[in-house]
Amino acid sequence: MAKSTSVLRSIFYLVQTSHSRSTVLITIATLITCIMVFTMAGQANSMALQAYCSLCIFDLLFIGTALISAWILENNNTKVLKNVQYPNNFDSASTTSATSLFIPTQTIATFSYGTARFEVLAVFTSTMLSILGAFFILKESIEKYLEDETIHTEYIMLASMSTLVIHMIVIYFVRNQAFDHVIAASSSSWLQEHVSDMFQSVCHYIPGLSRLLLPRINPLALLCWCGLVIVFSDSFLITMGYGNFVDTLSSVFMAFMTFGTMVPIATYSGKILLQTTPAHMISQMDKCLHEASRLDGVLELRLEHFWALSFRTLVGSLHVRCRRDADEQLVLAHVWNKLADVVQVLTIHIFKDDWLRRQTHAFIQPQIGNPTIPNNPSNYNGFVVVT
Amino acid sequence: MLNSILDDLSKTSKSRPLSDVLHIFIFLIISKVLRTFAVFITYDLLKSFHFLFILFLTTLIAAVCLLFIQKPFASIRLTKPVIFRLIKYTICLTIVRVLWIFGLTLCGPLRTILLFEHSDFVLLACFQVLFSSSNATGVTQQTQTSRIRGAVFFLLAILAIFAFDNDDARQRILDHPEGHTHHHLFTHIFYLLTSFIGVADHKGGVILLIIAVCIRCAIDSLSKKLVVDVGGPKKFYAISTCLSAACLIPVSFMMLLINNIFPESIDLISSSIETTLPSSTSLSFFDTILSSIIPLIVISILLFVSDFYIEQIAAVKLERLRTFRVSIFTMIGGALIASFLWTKFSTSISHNPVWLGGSTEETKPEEHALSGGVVFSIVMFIFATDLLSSPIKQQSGTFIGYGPDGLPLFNLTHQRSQSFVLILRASLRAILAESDSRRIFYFLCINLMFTFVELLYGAWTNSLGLISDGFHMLFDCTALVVGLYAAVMSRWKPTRVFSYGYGQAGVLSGFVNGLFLVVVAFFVFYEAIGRLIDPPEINTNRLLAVSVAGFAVNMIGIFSFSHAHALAHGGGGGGGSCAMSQTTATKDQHHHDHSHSHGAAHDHGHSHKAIESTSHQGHSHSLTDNANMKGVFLHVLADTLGSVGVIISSLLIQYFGWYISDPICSLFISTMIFLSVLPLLKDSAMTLLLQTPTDILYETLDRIMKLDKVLSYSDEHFWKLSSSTTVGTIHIQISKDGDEQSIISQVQTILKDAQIHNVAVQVEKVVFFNHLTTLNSALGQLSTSHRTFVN
Repeated sequence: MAKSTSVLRSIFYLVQTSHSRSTVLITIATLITCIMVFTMAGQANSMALQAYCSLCIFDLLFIGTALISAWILENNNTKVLKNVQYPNNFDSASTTSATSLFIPTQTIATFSYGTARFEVLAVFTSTMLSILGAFFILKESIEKYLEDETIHTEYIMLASMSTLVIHMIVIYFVRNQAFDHVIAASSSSWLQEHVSDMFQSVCHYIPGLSRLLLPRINPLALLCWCGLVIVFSDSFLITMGYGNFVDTLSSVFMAFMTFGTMVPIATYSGKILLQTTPAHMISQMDKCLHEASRLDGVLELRLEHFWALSFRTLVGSLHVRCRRDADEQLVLAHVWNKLADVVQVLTIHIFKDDWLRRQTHAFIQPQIGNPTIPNNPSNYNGFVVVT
Repeated sequence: MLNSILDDLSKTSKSRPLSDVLHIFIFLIISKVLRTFAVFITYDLLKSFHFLFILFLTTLIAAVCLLFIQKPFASIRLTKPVIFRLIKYTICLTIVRVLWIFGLTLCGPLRTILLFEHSDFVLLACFQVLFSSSNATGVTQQTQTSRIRGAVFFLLAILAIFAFDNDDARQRILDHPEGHTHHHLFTHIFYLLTSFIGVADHKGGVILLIIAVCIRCAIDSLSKKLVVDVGGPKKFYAISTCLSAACLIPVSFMMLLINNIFPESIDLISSSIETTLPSSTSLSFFDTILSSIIPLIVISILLFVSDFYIEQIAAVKLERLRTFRVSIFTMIGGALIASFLWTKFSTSISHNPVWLGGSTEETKPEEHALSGGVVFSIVMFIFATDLLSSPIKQQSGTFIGYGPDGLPLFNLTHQRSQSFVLILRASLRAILAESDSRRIFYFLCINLMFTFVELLYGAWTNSLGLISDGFHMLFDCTALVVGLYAAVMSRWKPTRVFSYGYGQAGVLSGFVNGLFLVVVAFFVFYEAIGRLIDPPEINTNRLLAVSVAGFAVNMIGIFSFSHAHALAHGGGGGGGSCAMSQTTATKDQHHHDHSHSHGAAHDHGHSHKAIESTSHQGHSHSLTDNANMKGVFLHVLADTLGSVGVIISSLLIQYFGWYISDPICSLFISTMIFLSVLPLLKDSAMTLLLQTPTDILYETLDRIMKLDKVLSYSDEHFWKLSSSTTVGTIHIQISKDGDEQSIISQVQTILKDAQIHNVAVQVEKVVFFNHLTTLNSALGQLSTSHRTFVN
């Protein structure tokens, strides 16, 4: 309950603040357009138009994602402000759960890693919903083809133009960190690939366009433009009297384009949700782990779990088996030093074989088994001293 | 076969400067233009003669010419197998030519040129793109992309000719098939065939031409060795043409006999095509043949002799690819221009029929005219040809890079593909290995069978309602497929990237299934609102039977899944007696649900709520709540609700005529689906968001705090990996004299008591922070734990 009230409060906050007032306006505009356009699509009885207008619903989800990511950012900022008295505390990942961590308290935060994962889930949900919507439209269009009803083309132009306008406004004027990141980081869709391939040859002749068209166009904008072309040619062909087959074909095509655009994004965010190592981090992780395994006292690294918490944060835990006579805190410090640059939230579990025996050994010869730790560690000069 | 052609494609031979080969270019272009011209003349001739005669005569003339030029039988000794293969090839070639010329009669010259003149390169590249995996070849990604696009353009072009080209003249004839007698026996048989399939005449022609070009491509690629055996392509061509002419002799004479025995058929044709045609055509048949001998000779030389020789020369001097590109572009352009001119020309000279050798018919001006579909397909063909026949850049490098698993990837030239049966068997075994996936699989099979029967019956009785319901069932099956895949996947072993294993896949699939239901609910709601405003008339005929059958099938699903559901609850309950009572309670409610399923809808809502509450109870008690199975179960439940709604509304419509009841029912159902899916969505989302399980209670951490030498803990993260396993990480700060290993083992024991097995414990002392300061390492997340020591 407390969580939901805080969500409400933050949404209220968003409405109040000046920078998000435009977002609220756009949201209202999108809602109105959505209702209008869907009414028209229902009147026109054209599945292609309906497929195109489902972009409006995606826009709503897009705005929702934008709000969530803004909320997360706001959350982090307030917490940073709260913790500003501690000068070291600038890392966003650690601040998220900071409130409960000043002193070990009896309470546990519901989301121990903070709320950063919300936006990943939001992105995944919105893309998945539009994929499933496209799938539904695929099925619907087949059914419509069998029913063979007449299609009215008079609404198509108006509805598709308003969808285009609202979609473009939403995509380019609503600031959405999460989607920006995913669009930049995920692999390109087949639509993007083909379009960039085509534009590459166009830019051979007109090099000036390359700034505009290369290397990748925003896939959502691309989807919109291609959909517009399809809807227009569809309405043209229907007025030419080609019948329902055209409509079914173009809606199927639209659905496939939606699949193509959304699937890479959904895959990227879904992989984060499945706690996987991001593909681009693997080589860097390998290098760091290799270095860590060569440190003095380290025998092997086991159970390495490195996974993306959100779009920017990497979380890791690993077990380090070290030599029986090694100083654990020193090994820990060195391994930590190697990995902490890459992994933001790290837990290193150091273990030794037969540590019980060592303990008995230490009981017998306390001065050897428990080596004296000098109070001034700078004597070591950063080298691991083997006792 | 494929590889050899592609090797040909990838060969980047030195292209000669244009000035050297300019004359060949010009020759090639001229010959191709002439060939286009010849195709058009042939089409005009075909209007008055049987196509087999024309084919026979042209082949005969060409054979005679080639015999004189080439003298193929003069100097070779052919062995028996070679002759045998030669005859096989010839028969195929003849079939191709017959198909071609028949397609020409049906589609007209322009479409024939568009469809038939493609070279083997383009076709094979197209096939390769469509039917082989892109990773197997060492082709660079970008080329592959453009290839795919080319193939798609090619298919689009064919589709445009096939579907969007309404050939008006033919259509008009087809509208009155009873009054129209076809030209020839063949045409009539073919007409019967096409009308059986249900496509128009010219569309049948398109199919024929596509078949012909595929066969040609196949025999050309297969006969490469034969060409060498016979001794050069020219000799080979001459021999095969002669043999083909010989092949055509019996057939054409048979046709002649038939036409002489039943001359009235020709009369009928003539009268049906052309009312003004004098009936002398059939009487002076041989006279007209003789008078049209000049165009025949022209055709046969242009089509079969000069074209071949010039193409051979060009293939030697230029490379084959370039030859082909030039020729296809010339032919398409020529055909386009010619078809413009031809319609005007033929209409203008229709009163001056001498030149065309007695074919005095007035061509209908609109016959096989240009249409939007043809123009579109011309553009598409040009693009496709350009993309598909651009040379492949073969990559020779072996090392590609690192794969997602962190292993180096090497470019294997020949990837071993597993047999389909083996994959099928392995996946079947994986599916049947566990009860969850087995259950989903069986239900999926039942569902698919039902769908199949429904679709078949719908097609049989020509009922649209049944077919669309079948599609709906198919759509529902995808949710089951997702569930099945996730159930199988969640048992895979952990890999480098999926270091925690695939346990979360089940949760994700549950989430996706929940979203699926949300989408379904939304669309049902949307349609229901549309119908609420304007309730349509519904034909309840047969609707009731179908929905009852669907209800029965879904009931099976509910039975099996509710069992699993209950088991999951029971198993997770922890305490024995409590679990038992819960299980029985759930079963009871389901039983209740079944027995009253024909009652009012609010009953369902009630039972539904009961399920929800039990799931909540189960959740609060246990972590072992399989989200995947729950998602599948909810989907089946939603389906059942749907069929119940249909039953109720159709009953209401049938007996009371309340058409409004259908949208109200759907509104109700959609709301119910949405409400029932919410808990599932919330649960799985919480798991995906790594919510700390509520039963990691304070006392666990309290016990850790109370351990000897422990100062504090920080960064405690615990989350459910799947429904059954919980993992976590924790940092513990201890005093200077504590022993790390003993603390770790104590902490592990404590956490094991709380059912957390996979734990990483980081033990920190003051020294650690000193070391870090020495190493100049940023503290980052450690600042909080550092505070323990600072204070």
